[in-house]
Amino acid sequence: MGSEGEGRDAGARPDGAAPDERPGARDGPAEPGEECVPPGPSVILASLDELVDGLVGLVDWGIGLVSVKPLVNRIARPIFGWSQRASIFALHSGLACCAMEMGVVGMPRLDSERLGVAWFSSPRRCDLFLVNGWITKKTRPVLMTLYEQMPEPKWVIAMGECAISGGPWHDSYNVIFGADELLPVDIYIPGCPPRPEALLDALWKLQKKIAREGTRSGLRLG
Amino acid sequence: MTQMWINMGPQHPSTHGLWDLLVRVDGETIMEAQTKIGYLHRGVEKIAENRTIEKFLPLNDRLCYVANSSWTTLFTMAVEDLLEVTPPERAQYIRVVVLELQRIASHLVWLGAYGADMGLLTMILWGWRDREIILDLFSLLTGARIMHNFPRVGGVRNDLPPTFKDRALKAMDYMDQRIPEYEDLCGRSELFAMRTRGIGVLPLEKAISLGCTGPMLRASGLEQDVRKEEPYLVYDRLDFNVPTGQNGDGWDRYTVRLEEIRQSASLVRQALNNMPEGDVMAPGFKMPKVLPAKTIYRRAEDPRGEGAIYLVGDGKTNRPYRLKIRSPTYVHLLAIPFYIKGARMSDVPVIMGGADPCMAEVDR
Amino acid sequence: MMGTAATQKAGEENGSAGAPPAAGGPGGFQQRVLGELGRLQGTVTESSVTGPRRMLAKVAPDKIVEVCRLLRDAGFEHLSALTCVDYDSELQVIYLLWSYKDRCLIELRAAISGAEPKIASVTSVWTGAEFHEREAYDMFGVVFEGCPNLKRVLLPDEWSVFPLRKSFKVESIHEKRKRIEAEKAKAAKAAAPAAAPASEPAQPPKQGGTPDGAPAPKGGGAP
Repeated sequence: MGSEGEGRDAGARPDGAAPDERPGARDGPAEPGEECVPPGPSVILASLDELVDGLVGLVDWGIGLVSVKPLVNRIARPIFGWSQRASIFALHSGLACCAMEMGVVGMPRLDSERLGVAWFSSPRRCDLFLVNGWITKKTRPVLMTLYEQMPEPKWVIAMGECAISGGPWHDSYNVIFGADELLPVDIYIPGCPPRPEALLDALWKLQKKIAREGTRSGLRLG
Repeated sequence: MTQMWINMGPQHPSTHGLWDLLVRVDGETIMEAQTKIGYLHRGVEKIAENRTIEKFLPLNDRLCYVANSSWTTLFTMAVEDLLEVTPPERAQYIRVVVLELQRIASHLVWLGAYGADMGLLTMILWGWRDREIILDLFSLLTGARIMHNFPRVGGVRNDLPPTFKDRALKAMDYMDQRIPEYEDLCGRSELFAMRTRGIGVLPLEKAISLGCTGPMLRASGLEQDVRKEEPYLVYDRLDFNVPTGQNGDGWDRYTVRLEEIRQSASLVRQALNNMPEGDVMAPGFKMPKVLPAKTIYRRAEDPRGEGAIYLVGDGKTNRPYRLKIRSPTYVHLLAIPFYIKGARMSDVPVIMGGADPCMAEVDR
Repeated sequence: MMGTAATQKAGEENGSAGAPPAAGGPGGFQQRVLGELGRLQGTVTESSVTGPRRMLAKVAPDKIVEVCRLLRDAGFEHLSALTCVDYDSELQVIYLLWSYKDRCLIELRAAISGAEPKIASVTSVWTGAEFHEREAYDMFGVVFEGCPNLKRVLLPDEWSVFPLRKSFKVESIHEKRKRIEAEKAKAAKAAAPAAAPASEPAQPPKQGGTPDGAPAPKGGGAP
């Protein structure tokens, strides 16, 4: 609610109507002889939806009136930030050797799930894109598609030397020298490969970053 | 029913790497398939032509991220053939220990992923947890969990640390206790049997004609192992069996690899107990400024099959003129369309997993 | 080297290897294979035993399928690898065959021209040859006539370079940086507008591929 309400004009209603002209609200039967039939389920649901929207808009308008929006943001943002950082879903995409160390982080010895990090195969449900291997020219559209399929907010961690700068493949004709040529990277983990504890540390740092920066909105293209 | 092409990959939980299996399905049955690889192609063979042997050596670890030392050892053996150097016996025994530990670690990765693809998530937790014990041994010996950079041309980098032998023997005892647990979990599971028996059958004639090697070929029935055919290092002095299957289905690939873990544990024990004292580097060996003008084809038993290196020296520089890496999984993955017809969509992870893909070695 | 009826080194003298094949090893098999290859006059120009389990034969490229079929029936059932080596004068196509029963490897070398590399495909002998041939096509540009699916396998489909040819030069990131700095220094020094193109058109661009994926123009000799 904190960030979503910011863009909206404080006095407007969601459907654009004036506060009195709510659809479905009447003072009496429209025509003589028409019975006051109670509205059917769909009408109730539709008006419930609008009721909730209306209430939200009303509260927003009220908050804007008394200028406690920054205060509300200050309370709401950490709550959203906490829920986002405590349940990061990472994309199950292993490119190369660092993917082995990424896999180890989910395994019993290091157990990323105690940090809330779980791995999911579908990018549509993920927040975190771990680039963990060298990127080749053939892979570039694949990674861009995966990144674009992820909904906002999303973060990118570049794991390993190959994702930071191309790694040991500096004279390869097919390797792209760094993930930040394609994606906006939040955290870089050096190492070839980094120890899985380093990835765990990076996940902690990412959590701190989310706590500090709050929920992210908007698409930044690097 | 209309048929359609479904794209399984490049990002897919069962592929374990970036590759693409396009399948044309009629309902649930697969009519045709195509494999698309190359998403991880770095041009390692071209890079090798621009680097000296010592500078190229650490890159061999990255040739297969699951079985690193087996490619570095193969490369050093190829260079040693070219330069006609023999490493001392102790170094050869140490290399055998590292190779067999690497084989166990690689098969545990495979076993975990195989079970996980079928939904048997306990297997991946157990398998990778036990692999950590072997990676601890590697850390102790070489300093790194993966990417050891341990063999050198003429020997190995360092001798065994004092506690290594005891810890390794204890680890092998631990593995021997775990293997029956894996058999209990997977082998006696009806669901596992239903999902692997009769799935992805590859008859022996077809396997040989396609060029499949290693566990894929052994599962199809041929008792073939490069360590027995062309013994390298000290394998001719060690005693081990080569497990085979009968039908070449997913079940046989599982039993073959599980038995290989057991055999590798026994090999590690034998090598550690019979290791002679001595140097670990060929005394007085220095890399020459110029590689001799010879061609070498050196084969070895990678956990995935027959890995080989074709190395051409040109007699003028200390860089290889041509380095060809024969990857077993390259053949296995491109061979999948030849035996997947008639399988169902839900069998695809089992078939993909049975080939044990390691994409860095496929795409090089 | 292309099919010339040079003197055949039949295996009977066994003069090429250092030691004769070990007793109990594949010696008898090797002699038999050498005998069979020796019968193919003009096709197999040199066949020899080069090590305890290694043999070598140079084959005329137009008869490669026949020789491969003969060797497969003689026991070399496994095509271990099929690759190429780019020499100045020629392009050699290498076939590495392994016999499971007799435990011996034979290396066949077929020399074809670098300018128009074409050779018959051996997929009729081994189905799996297709995979190696696709890679050889991808890396070297060799066209294998008769290969069922001769498309690029490792590089992106739309590329038109053949990277493992010696004419394709790759420069490392350090060299690229030095080159750019050197060019900048040169351009800065020669402040007059007619300065720069002294070094440019003399050599083809060395860059293996620009970051946006456009491949470099092919070097000389690649088809």
